[in-house]
Amino acid sequence: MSSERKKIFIELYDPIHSRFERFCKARVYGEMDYKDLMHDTIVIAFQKFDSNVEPKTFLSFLFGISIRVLANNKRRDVKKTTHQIYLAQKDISYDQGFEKEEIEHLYTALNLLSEIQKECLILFEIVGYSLKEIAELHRTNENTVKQRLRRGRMQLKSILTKNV
Amino acid sequence: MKDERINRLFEALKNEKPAVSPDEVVQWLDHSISDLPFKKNKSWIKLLYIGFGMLIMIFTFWYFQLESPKKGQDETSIPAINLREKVVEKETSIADNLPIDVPAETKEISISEKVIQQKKEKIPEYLELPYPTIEINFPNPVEDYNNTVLLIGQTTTPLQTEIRDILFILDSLNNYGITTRYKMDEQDCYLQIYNEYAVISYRLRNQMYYASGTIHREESQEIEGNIYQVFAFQTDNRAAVSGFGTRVFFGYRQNGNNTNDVEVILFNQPWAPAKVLKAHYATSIEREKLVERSKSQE
Repeated sequence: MSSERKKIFIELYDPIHSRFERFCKARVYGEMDYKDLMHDTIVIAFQKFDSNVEPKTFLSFLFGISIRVLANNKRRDVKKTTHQIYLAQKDISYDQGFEKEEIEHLYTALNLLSEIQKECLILFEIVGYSLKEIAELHRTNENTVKQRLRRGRMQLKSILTKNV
Repeated sequence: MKDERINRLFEALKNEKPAVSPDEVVQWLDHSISDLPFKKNKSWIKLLYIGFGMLIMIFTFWYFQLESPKKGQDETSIPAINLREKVVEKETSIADNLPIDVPAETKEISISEKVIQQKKEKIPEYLELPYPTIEINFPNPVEDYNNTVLLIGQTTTPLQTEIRDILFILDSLNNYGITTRYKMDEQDCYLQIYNEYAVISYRLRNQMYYASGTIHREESQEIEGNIYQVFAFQTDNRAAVSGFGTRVFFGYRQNGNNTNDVEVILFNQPWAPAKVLKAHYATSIEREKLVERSKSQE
C-alpha cells in the first residue's frame, strides 16, 4: 500500500522537482538551508498525500506546505545565521556567464522585500507560475498579485542599483 | 540596474540545474516511511506512560496498605500506657540502678514488685479518678450580661431603626483636575444608597459603569477644604482576578445649604479623587421612572 502511494507520489513529484527546488532556494535564502525545507515539505506532503491529488495542483500543494513549514520555523525562532547558510549554499554553480556575486545580490535583494512580494516574485519570475495560479495560492485576485509584482520589482530594482 | 538585466538574472535562475537529485528525495521518503509507524501512532507511547503511572500508583497504594497495620498496632499500644504506669516505670528504673548485691535475675523481679506495691499505695487519689475535671463556670455566650438576647445569624443589627435611602441622579462627569465636562448619555444615571447597600450606574460616552455592593466603611473626609461623606464597598456584580478593581470608593457632599445639587467623587484609592460627578437629589417623578425602567427590564 505504502509502496504504491510512494510510486504515485514520485510520479507526480518528478516533473516539478526543479521548480520546487528553485522556489525553496530563493524563498529561504539566508534564513535556513533550502534542503531542510525541501525535506520537511516532502515528508509532510507524503504523510498528508492523498492519491486523488491532481498533477496540476500538486505543486501548489507542496508550496502551501513549505510556506506553512517556514512560518512555523519562524515562530519557533530557529533561524540559522546567514553565515552558516552562505557556507551551505556555496557549492551552487551558475551558467550563462553570470558571476556568483551578482546572483547572490539578487537573492539578498529578494530577501529585503516583504514576504508576500518576495513570494509573488519568486513564483512568477523563478518558478514560472501564472498570475491566476499565484492568486489562487494566495487566495487573492489577479490585480492584487499584479500590484505586488510591480511594487516588488520596483523595490528590487532600487535595491540592486544602490548595491551596484 | 536596468530591467533587462534583472530579467536576465531571473532567467539564469530559472534555467539553473537542480542541486538535489530526485534519488535523494526518494531516499528521504524511504526514511520517512520507516519512521512513520512511530511518528504517526504516538498513542502507544501515551499508553505506555499511562500504564507506567498506574503501576507506580498501585505499588505506592499497596506499600501504604502494608505499612498501615504496623502503624495501627503502634498506635493502639501507645494509649495503653497511662500516667500511673509511667510513674511505676520510672520508679522501677530508679530501683534498677540501686547498688544492691543481689543476682541480676532475682533483683529485677523482687525489687520491682516491692517498689510497685509501695508506690501503688503512695499514688495520689486524684490519679485514680476516671476523668479528673476542673469546674469553671464560663458565661453563656448567647446571653449578654444585660440580659439582652443577641440574635445570631441576623444580617442587619436590630439596633438600626432608621432607613437610609438616598438617590442621586447623575448629570455630568469630569476627570479630576481636567475642566472638560461630559454629559451623561442617559437621564437615568443614578447613585443609590439604601441602608448599607450602594449602587452606582451610569453610561458615559457609550461606556457603561455599574458597581454595587455592601458598604463596609463610612466616614467623613476633608478634600480640598470641603467635607465629604465617603464610603467604600466591595462590588458584588462582577468577578475579578485577585480582587483587583472590585473595591469602590466614593463620596458626596451637598453644594450649599438650600440647594438640590450634589457633588459626587469617585476615588481611585482612598482618598485620591479620580472622577467628579455633578448630581442632584432625585425627584419623585425621576424615582418612579427609574422603578418603571427596572421593572421593564425584569
